[in-house]
Amino acid sequence: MTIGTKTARWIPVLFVIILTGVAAAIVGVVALSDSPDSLKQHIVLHIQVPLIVTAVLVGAALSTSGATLQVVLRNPLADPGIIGITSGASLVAATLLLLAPSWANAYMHYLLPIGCFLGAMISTFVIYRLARRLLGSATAVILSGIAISTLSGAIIAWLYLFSDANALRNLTFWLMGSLYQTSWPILALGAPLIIGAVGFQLYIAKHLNKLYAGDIAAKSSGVNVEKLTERALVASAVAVGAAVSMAGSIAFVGLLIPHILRRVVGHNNALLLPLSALAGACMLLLVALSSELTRAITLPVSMITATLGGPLLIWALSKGQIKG
Amino acid sequence: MTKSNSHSEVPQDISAFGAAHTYDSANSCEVARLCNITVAQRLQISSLRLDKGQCVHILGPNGAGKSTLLMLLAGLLEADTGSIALFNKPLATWSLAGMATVRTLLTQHTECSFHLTVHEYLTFYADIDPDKGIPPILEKALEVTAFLPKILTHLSGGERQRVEICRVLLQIWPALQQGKGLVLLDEPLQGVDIRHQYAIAQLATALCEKGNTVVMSSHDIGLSANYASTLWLMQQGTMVAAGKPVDVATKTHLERVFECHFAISKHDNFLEFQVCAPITLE
Repeated sequence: MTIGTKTARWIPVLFVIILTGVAAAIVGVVALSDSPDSLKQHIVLHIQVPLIVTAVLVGAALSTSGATLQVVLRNPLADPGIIGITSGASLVAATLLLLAPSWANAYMHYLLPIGCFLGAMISTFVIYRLARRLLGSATAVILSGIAISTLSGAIIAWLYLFSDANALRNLTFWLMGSLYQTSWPILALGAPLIIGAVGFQLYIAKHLNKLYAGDIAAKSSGVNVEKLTERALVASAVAVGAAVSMAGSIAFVGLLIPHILRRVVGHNNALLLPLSALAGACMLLLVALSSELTRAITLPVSMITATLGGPLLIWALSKGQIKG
Repeated sequence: MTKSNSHSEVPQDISAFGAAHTYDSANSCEVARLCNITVAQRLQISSLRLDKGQCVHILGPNGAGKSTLLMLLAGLLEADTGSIALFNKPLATWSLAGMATVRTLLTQHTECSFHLTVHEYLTFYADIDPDKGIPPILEKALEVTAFLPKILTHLSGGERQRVEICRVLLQIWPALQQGKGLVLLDEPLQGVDIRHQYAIAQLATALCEKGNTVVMSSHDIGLSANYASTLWLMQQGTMVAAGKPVDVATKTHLERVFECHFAISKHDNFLEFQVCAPITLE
């Protein structure tokens, strides 16, 4: 079914090679162009390197959190987007982009990420509270996540009615994700959050393995399930919240990467989570490279991840990995 | 079928059930003790003691409180009133991680929505190196080695149950090897074919002979009466009788608890049960 441990050891090496290769290619696109050296240096330092760092961080955050959420919520279909962590961020983004007075536009660059992060945190908190109060099960988290997503989708749709075309275009781009919105100050805030939250998920990965047989079995084998679930949810929310505030809403990465990796390396989270982080980083870096190569038009990230992800997911489905 | 309940070398003073306990509380034989336990709507037990080396089978109709009692013994359910001690230590002083190395619990209805292999599943819960294979005694009783590369959710109900029992026992395998474990099994025979039912019952006896303690619930009166060293008979959240199988699995007790007519016969120390008049639908 899955490959041997010996082969598995080479997978991280492969991913690191891809990572460095693609990062070099992104820098290379500019370095090999015929612009003057000072301009090249400026572009590399202020556009390319932030782009690379953003892609790596966002990719790692989304796919690791996806893998964690799927195990914690006992649902292979859980995804940061599907269960509503991003919905709060989208709602804040829509409110800011569509309703903010014109004087605020000057600060939008900083206002937007911070607002989105808070929005993601608040929606996660609301979802978790709602789930605990109503049913207190893993399915309840997903159900209340869908409820909150639907609600914030509806509010965004109402906001559409009252806004002008230019603001709408900005929002559409945000909702589909972009890796070009970050700057060094934003990265300085977001990177520690993502590194901390992803690091924590890797740290608890071994304990997540005990959740496969259900709550009581996990408790019986020495895991404090409530505490672990709560911490894992908070860590995923922080990572996804920071990722969304840096790059907008990016679909599918969190669902897709863990699923495909499970086919290759199996279900051991101590292996799956770090590899998800690496693979997610690789995937978004490839997306970044593809938008660098087609610089004439700005490609929304979700468009590319969905184009790549759809067929891959269908392939995984046909292999029988994701059954009900 | 062979008679196998004459193995126990440990003193069995469980017949003191219901009476005031006069035994020494620091008794090293004591594995668990329950005092004045109530769980709202589900369980009411004034006193119960479990000793090292006992192989207890719990009998009783549906909803008698068997699972609740097992959850209490596992320290995973808090009683509304009363006290529980495990290995002479109050339950409150045990950590989850500490308990996980000495006692293990099989629950009913474990589900898994991921398609992991049996091998992976076992390694996530086992303390031993599963690459060495399943310990021989477990393999003999449960025959799970052939399932290792298979997907857990593709197994049949009984096959899955054997894997679950294997997982539960592997969790505290080091303690079981030293004869220090407490094994709590909620209906381990559920869905398992007749050959493996007897193998599992024998496995429980074998573990007890090493000094471990087993408590399992069952619906097979005939099997339990012959393979248990102690029977606990429960009804509506109370303990009706506890003690040696011959004293507990009597016509009076069984008819009162199960509301059926029984005929009990004894051949060479082997108890045989026949249900004469089960529920009629008229």
